[in-house]
Amino acid sequence: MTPLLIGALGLAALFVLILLQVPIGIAMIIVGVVGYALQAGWAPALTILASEPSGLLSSVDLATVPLFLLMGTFATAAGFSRDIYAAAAALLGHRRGGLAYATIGGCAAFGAVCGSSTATAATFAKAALPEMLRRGYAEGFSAGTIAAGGTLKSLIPPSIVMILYCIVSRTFIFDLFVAALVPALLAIALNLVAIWVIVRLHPEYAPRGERTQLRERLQALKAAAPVMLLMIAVFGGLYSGVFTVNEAASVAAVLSLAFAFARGRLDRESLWRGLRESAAATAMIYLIIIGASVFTYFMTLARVPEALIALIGGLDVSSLSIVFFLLIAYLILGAVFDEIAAMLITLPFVLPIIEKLGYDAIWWGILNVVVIELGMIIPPIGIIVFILHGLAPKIALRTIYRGVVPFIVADLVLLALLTLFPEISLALPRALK
Amino acid sequence: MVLAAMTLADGLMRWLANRPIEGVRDVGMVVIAVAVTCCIPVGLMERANISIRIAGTVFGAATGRALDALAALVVEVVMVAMAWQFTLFAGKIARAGETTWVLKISTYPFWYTVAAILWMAVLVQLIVVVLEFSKLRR
Repeated sequence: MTPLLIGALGLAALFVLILLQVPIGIAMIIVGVVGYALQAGWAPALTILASEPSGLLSSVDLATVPLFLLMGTFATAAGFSRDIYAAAAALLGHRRGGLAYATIGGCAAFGAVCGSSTATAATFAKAALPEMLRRGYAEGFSAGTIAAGGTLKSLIPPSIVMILYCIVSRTFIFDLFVAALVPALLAIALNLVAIWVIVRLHPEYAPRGERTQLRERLQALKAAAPVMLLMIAVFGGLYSGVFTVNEAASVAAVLSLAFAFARGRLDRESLWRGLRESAAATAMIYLIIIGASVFTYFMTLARVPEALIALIGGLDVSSLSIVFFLLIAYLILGAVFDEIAAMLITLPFVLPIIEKLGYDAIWWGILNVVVIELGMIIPPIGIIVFILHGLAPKIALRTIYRGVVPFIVADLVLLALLTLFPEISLALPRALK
Repeated sequence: MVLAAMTLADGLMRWLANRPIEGVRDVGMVVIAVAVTCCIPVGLMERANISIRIAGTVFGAATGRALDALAALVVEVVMVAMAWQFTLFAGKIARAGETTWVLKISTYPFWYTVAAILWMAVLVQLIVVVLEFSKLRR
């Protein structure tokens, strides 16, 4: 049997199991072990059920995931999202579309102290949406802005998607975090431009608000000070080289817990609920990563990546065409599949091709994150759009999807820029080396 | 959280006094394995795994419930295999006398603990399987 046939059969078996509602991580473990057993026998195949997971369970790098999840839990319980939004709204609320700008800025800032895009969108749906609707903002525009703000999180370090990419691709987390800085700023800028264009074309979507008094502005900024302090401690410590990624994650978890307690916003019930949710999310992420690792082991043993490289090397097409083809394939896959799982399943095939084409694994990581970001708001399964609809059922799903269209365009522009100009992502990490 | 606090203290000591706390990273690796494994039974109980529910949507709720029960059984089989392999793995580590790099602490008790937690996860998943199959009778 040729490696390509083994790979194709492995993928087909994986999709059958996934369609039978077997959890994705477990499906990858099964296909990986069975595929390995068919090549090398059951005894060695079963041992990878301990040898691969043991390395991941004791990985200090991967342990940053639960720590950043805990930070997000405590930051949410401490009400940081409300404070950031209130401060941004006090500064910008009087401008046309000011609350929308404040939402994007607030989501970006909260994203820096929260590990999850869905949590960012959900908390801002509670903090920002009622205020925007109360001030007469259009439903679709308001919901679209919050959805776009939530997706920004994926690209803002510390991002769990980035950590998972680094673990599977065996690249340095710090390098990807540094590489994400300029693209993240670009993403924020493009989202702000999208809002600017919308409010110019449809002024009725976002009426001007009253200017707040200086005293109120200062009060709002004072309330948001702990979040700023947390951001400075985590980002400043990480990027100045004082802390490693793991230490920065520890700082984030410990400080956010301390702030939540100090502000009296963390009772026993919310602490327990937060810990349980973080533990469940940690288990889910580790099982997917273990599955991806076992699946990759099987694919590598079968020499599938080499066969694919040879196949693609024989094609008479440019490297950029292959990259665009892969990105389109990811967008289609992400529309019907979980985006993170899609990335982890395909990475063992795709990354060797990308590296063979002469591209950087860090650059591909950034593109993957942007594609995942897009997948969260693109129909038919835009998870963040569904979350917003769940929290605000009066706003029709179609209205929310219509509201996110300008932001999808902004994200597509970002994706095109990052693809055509890899230096946008790579210049900073190269300069720091 | 205790390990996070220790890691934070280690980083601060290294930064401020150039004297990191010896062995934090060393112990951290095995303690992390135990701490993370503790999350697995919680994740199984909360049914936190990502799965795609297209078949249930297309072929109706009854098919969806049947597939959920079948998937829970498949998860149970994989958990049994993992717990079994981790028990063998811990025994291998014990026989090899593996220790941590700096403090020379034996690592096998940690791996036996991981295996024990995975057996607990097997029990938790068994409850999930029973619950899923009981839904089929209703």
